[in-house]
Amino acid sequence: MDNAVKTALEGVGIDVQEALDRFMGNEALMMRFLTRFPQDLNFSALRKAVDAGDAAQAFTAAHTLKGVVGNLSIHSLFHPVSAMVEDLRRGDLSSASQQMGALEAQYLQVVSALEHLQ
Amino acid sequence: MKVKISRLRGPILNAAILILVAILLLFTVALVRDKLLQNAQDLGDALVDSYAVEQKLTIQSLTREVDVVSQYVDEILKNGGDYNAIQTWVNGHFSKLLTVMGDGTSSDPLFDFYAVIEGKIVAANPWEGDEDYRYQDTDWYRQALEADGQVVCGEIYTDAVTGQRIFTISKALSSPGDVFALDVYVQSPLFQTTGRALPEDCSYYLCDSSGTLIYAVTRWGLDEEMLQRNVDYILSGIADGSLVDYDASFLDEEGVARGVYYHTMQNGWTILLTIPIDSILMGEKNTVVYIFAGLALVVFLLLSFFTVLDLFRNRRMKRADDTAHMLGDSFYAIYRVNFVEGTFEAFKANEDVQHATPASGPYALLLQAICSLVQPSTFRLFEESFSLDSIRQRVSQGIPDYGGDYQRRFGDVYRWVNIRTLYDPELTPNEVILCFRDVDVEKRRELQNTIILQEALDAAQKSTKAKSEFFSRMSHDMRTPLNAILNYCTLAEKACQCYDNGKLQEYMKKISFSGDQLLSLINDILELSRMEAGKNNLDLKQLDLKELLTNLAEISRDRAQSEEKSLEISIEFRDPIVIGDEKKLGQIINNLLSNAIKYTNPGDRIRLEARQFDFQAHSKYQIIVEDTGIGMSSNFLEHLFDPYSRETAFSAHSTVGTGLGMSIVKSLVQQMSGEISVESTLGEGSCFTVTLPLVAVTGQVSTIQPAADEPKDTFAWSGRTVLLAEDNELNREITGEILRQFGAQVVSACDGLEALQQFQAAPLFSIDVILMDMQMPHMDGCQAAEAIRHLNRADAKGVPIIAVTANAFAEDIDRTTKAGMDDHISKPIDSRVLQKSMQRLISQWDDSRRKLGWVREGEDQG
Repeated sequence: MDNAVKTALEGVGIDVQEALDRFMGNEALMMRFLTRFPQDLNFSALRKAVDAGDAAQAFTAAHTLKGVVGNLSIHSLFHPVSAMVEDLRRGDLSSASQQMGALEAQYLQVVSALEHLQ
Repeated sequence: MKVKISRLRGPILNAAILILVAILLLFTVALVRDKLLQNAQDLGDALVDSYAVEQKLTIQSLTREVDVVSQYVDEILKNGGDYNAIQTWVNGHFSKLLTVMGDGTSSDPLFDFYAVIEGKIVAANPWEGDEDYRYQDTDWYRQALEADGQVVCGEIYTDAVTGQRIFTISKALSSPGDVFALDVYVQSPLFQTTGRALPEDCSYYLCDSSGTLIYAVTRWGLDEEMLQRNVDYILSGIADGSLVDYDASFLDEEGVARGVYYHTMQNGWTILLTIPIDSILMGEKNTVVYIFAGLALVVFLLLSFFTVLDLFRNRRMKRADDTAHMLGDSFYAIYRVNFVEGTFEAFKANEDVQHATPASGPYALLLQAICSLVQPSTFRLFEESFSLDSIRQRVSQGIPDYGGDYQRRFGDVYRWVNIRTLYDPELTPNEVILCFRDVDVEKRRELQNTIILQEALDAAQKSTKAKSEFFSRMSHDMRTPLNAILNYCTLAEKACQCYDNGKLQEYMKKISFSGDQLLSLINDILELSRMEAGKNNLDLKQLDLKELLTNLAEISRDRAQSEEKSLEISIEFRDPIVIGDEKKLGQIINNLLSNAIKYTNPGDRIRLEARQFDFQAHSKYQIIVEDTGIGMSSNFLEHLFDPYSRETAFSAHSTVGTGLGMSIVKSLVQQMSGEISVESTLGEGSCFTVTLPLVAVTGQVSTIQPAADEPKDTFAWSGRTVLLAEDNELNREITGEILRQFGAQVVSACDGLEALQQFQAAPLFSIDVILMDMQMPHMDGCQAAEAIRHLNRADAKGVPIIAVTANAFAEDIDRTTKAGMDDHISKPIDSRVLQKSMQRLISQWDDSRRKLGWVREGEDQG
């Protein structure tokens, strides 16, 4: 694997080794899914739901997003999303919306890094 | 028995007294009647005697007259008087006598004088046919001569001349052959004097020695013949004795009972007197007698009524008494205490107090005896609470029921006793009832209950406190690295813009460091369960869970076999060495196993199954105890884990065991932060599932590891079909690709419902394993798994279902197990763990579905 790519990925908080392990060392497969991540609609769904104040919808979106970033080992997103999932599980929308800005910043970083790879 | 007799005595006594009174009353009436009749007899006798004396006096005066006249005639003769002189004197004397004796109103002749002087008849009233009359043949003449100078009174006969009934009184004169005689007319007023003095309604009869009626006075105007018949009847009754007794009576013409009194005079005459019995007994005072009789009857009836009333009241009282008795049976001692006089009376007492106190006496004695048995620590309070002053005070405050529990010495042991003072101002204004009941069993149970509740409360409070402390610390701790990350990100962004790779790298490292820190914190949260467990005094040590289970099962197997029940064991651990509380684990398993043996019948099967789920750093161990025994009703199941659930059914106290077994198991499992669940059907059996988070000691398992890893090398993925249910497209594809990497075919479903439909559509046994996401629309993972398990097809029960979830707490695993899932895989997926789990489950599935007739493609049949 290209060291620069690996560094870039690790730079936005992606545990490349863990992800590779998940895809059983299949780098191409991993890259295919990583590059597809920007197209995943869960983040925008989460943001819309939080903005709209729909806690249930926000929870579903956050939960799914957590699953996706987990599978892709995007730790920089996995941990804040996990925290948000727990907030939303309790129905604590205000706490979630407070975290939303930071999460979005992080998300945009990851997305931009991944889009750069394409 | 004694009691019964005494209870019967009341009514019987009353009835007896009533009967006695009645008898006495009748006896008295009879006695009075008797006495009256006797008195009447005396009176009657006296009356007839007086009548007889009257008649006798009449006859005596006539006799004396004859004697005097005879002496006069003798005198006249002696002095030379001739027949004519005598005739003249007789005539004169006769008229004088008539004036004296007769009443002068009656025309009936009373008597007649005459004499035989020198063979000639001298008469006061000249006789007709004197010449033919042969005086020498008459009774009076002969009897007079024979009497030798004495006056003779003859029998009654009918006078030949007058046809009247007469008797003759005669006396021989001094000159031989001369006789003086007096004819007395019996039906003359001479003998009819008595009638006027007769009592009312009485009948009077005078008859001669032959029974011929001389004179009668009755209230009826009967003719002579009828009167004679009456006299004949009465005389015959006297003769045969039937009318002699004082209480004898006969019925007269009007049907009135009459008593008879009689007197036979010297000359053979008989005087009869009859009196109506009624007039003797009641006389004229009938009304008074009736009033008294009526009053007596009323009194008697009243008495009877009250007796009957009493009988009913007694019966009710007896029932009330029985009830009180039965109520009293639950008290071992009962006293009545008169708080005004300060005395007591014992109704029931325990032996020890009975020996120490009299059956009644001063209350102070009793209190002293009772207090001496009270546990020393409560002695003072007890003495105060039940002193006379306290009782009086409570009474004045109107407290009807007061008391409490205390420990009392019975011989050498102390038992809990409930003491009460009961007061009812209406029933006993001056007394309270003091009673004692043995409540040892209830009290101990209650205390135990309180202890358990207190412990549970303490545990809950501790746990809550620990949890909230933990969370507040954690959220604070989490903010620090998160802030660092965010800040460094901003910095990195700027560095990026400046293309300062050196700084960027540095920031990234710091970000990574903070991220790791955060990750470990989150892991700590997942460890919360375990941390809580650590605060519940668990004696955590390294132990071999497999060995522990095997040993316990072996012990139970002996018992099971002796009761003809089979016990199967199946233990599948990758890491058998864990950190845990061996004693408490043993307690849980033992309880489940012994319950299984207890609630199964000979021939039933018991299965102990244990397995391990991997999850991140922690392992979840699941222990299943399943039996084919008697099972439980759903009603009972609800309360299975409640303390004393068995006792709440108001059964007898002698149930075996404490009824705490299952609640203890539950509390132990909870202490270990585990979950316990039970499924049971009445008559079919029960299945207890315990899921425990235990720390696996991985270093110790090397000897087993190769064996567990072995299938990995030999497992053939080709031709295996995995049904994958995952709602997120990207995730579905990622997992799908991973599975394809294994070499498996993937059938995808977007949600639980579709997974169910896909499974239904797939050929029998064609699905090797189902990977089920938990959070899905339409039907979540648990619902879908349950629905699949309930499908009516041969592979529905056996197809392995693996849950994929981000939730890692024991209760989540418990939920998936309940839904019928076989294993639990955490998100994000660890490919190796997933592969291992799938291989293990598919291999098992191969074995079991072969038994159901499945043949794998490419395999030889048979």
